[in-house]
Amino acid sequence: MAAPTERTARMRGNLTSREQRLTESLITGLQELAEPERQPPKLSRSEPRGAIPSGRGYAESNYQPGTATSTGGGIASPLIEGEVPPPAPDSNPTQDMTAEPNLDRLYWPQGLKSSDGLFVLPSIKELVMRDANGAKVVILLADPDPEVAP
Amino acid sequence: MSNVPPWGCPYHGLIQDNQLTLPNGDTLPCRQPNGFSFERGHTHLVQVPDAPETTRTIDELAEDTASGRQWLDQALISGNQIHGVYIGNGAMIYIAPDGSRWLVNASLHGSNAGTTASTVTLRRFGIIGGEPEEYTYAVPVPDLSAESAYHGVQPSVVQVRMFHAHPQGKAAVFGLFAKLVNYIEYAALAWLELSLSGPADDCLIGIALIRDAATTDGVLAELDDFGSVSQFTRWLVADSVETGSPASAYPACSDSYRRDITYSISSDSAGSIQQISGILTSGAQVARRVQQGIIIGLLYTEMGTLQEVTVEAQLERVITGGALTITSTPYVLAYNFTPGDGVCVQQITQEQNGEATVQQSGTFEYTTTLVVRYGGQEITRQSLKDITNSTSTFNYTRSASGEPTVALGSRTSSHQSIPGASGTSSIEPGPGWSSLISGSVRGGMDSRIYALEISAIAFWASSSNGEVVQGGQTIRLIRLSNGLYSFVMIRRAVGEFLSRYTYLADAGTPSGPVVLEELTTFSSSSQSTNPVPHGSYNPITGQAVRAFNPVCWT
Repeated sequence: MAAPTERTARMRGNLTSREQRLTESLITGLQELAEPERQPPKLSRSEPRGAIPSGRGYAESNYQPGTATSTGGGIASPLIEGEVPPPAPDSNPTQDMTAEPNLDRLYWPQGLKSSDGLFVLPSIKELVMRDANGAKVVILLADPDPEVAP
Repeated sequence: MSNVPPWGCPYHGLIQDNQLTLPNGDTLPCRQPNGFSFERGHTHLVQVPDAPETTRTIDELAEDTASGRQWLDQALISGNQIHGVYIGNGAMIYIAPDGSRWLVNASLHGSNAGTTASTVTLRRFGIIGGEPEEYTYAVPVPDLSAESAYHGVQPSVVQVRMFHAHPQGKAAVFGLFAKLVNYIEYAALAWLELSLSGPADDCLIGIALIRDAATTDGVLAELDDFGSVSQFTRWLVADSVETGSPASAYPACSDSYRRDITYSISSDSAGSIQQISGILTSGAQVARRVQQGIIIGLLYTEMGTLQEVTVEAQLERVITGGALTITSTPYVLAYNFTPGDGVCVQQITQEQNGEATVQQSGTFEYTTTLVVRYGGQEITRQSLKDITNSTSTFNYTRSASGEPTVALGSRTSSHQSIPGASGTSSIEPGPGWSSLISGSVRGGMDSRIYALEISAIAFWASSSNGEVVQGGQTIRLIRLSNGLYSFVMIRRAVGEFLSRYTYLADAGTPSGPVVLEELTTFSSSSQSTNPVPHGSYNPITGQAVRAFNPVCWT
């Protein structure tokens, strides 16, 4: 088998001057790539530092309010129960309650009975919420135990 | 029903030793109902009218079966709990007209016959979250003094206990219970009913006496004269028969003659030696006594109709007397005449002792049958038959000296009890005993029925005055819980210190007859140490069980 330099010389003889220039450029690039690998810098040994101390975790959200201003423009998360916020407590009348949920739901009258009929799980029929823009959102849920027509 | 999966408590089975055994054999820890012995197995069906219909696919059913779950549209109040949770004594679930469910507790339970009012509390049941609504009513209780007086017990010792509840809680039966003499458990003297109607916040509640003491005690039908046995009185008389001629007929003062004294039975007391009593021989003497409709329980059906659990006690006595026979040997005297100092001397010598044996054989058949009915339909029965074949003998002897007379009596009997055993006995009452078969008539049997003990008694043998009992056997009815009624046979044989208590296999429930595992134990006569079994009936499945440890279905 011929050495790599012999094969390169044969190839050059068969090319035009422009092609040779391009070839030289490629060979130069390849040779640079084929040079011996540089040694990576060594990391110094670090001493053990023990467990990470406990602390409260947090996250920052890059929340951008939606642009909807009324129906038809989508629902802006988050949804909070209640068409309007609950009133501020008497003890702190100026407290900001805008992000507090306000119970605003209707139940199916029969609820969801246990198999023996003795116990009832409340079953929500209508759930009224407000979105991030303060728009009313109504969720209607089906009756899980509808009356069977006689 | 939508495709929402069923929810609730799917764990049903038998609670024993604080463990609930599921149909697949798995066990769960579970509270054991408590209360009086027979209350620990009480079950009350709860049927909510609009309970959802549970549908399960084949795969879901297979999964349920494997996991031991059962989604039932009915429930059981097990003693004083539901689904393993304590709800108070005398509690039930009231389904109001609007379908709401209310836990009812009445202070009537645990009161006595002197109580005049009961507090009834309705507390909203089955709603999750929040403090339940609650309404309390003061309900007057009718005067119960006459009911306790009927049996001669003080009102303060009468316990009013809830016995059974309506499936929708519209009513509940309360019994007036008392421990009477020899009664193995509390006997019911009379019955009350607590009734509810209308909404919980405006509930119409009443307490009424629905079965008074006289009604509860049943009706006695004495078909034949049970109290007496027709007997005869006869006399043993002696007749002298002289053969030959009197002394005056012997001028030569020689020769002899004899005098024979024979014995016979006479209806005339003239010249009698001994009075003899026996039973008439003209066929069998049959006596019957039936006490019907003794109310031992009151239960609501699944439809809410009240039904009685009653006992009918049938007693029959058949006495058959055999012919009176006498065998005798004459008392013989010999008279000899010999010349003396100018007189003719008469010597009297005894040639033969006199003896008379009077004998009568008879058969005594005592049959007691206890029939338990629910709603008029027989659900179980037990009979005890005691057959005695007896031969009584009366002996009269005239001794050689010719002076004393000795009367000796004896009786030999063979006995057979069904079910039970057989044996023999003999009695020798001693001199002066002159009563034949009539001495075997046992007086205790016909009186015990009045004591609400409801037992049939058959003695193997007793003396003429009924005091010496050589062995005995009794069958009693036992109310194991409000839905399970069975029998115990108590037997003590001659010479045994302990009585054998055999709790027989046949029993009855509102569903009909059931066969239970037979239990046997031995006990002294002290009732406080008797191990009384417990039992429970499942109105949903019809199952019944009895054990020495408390048991209850849930």
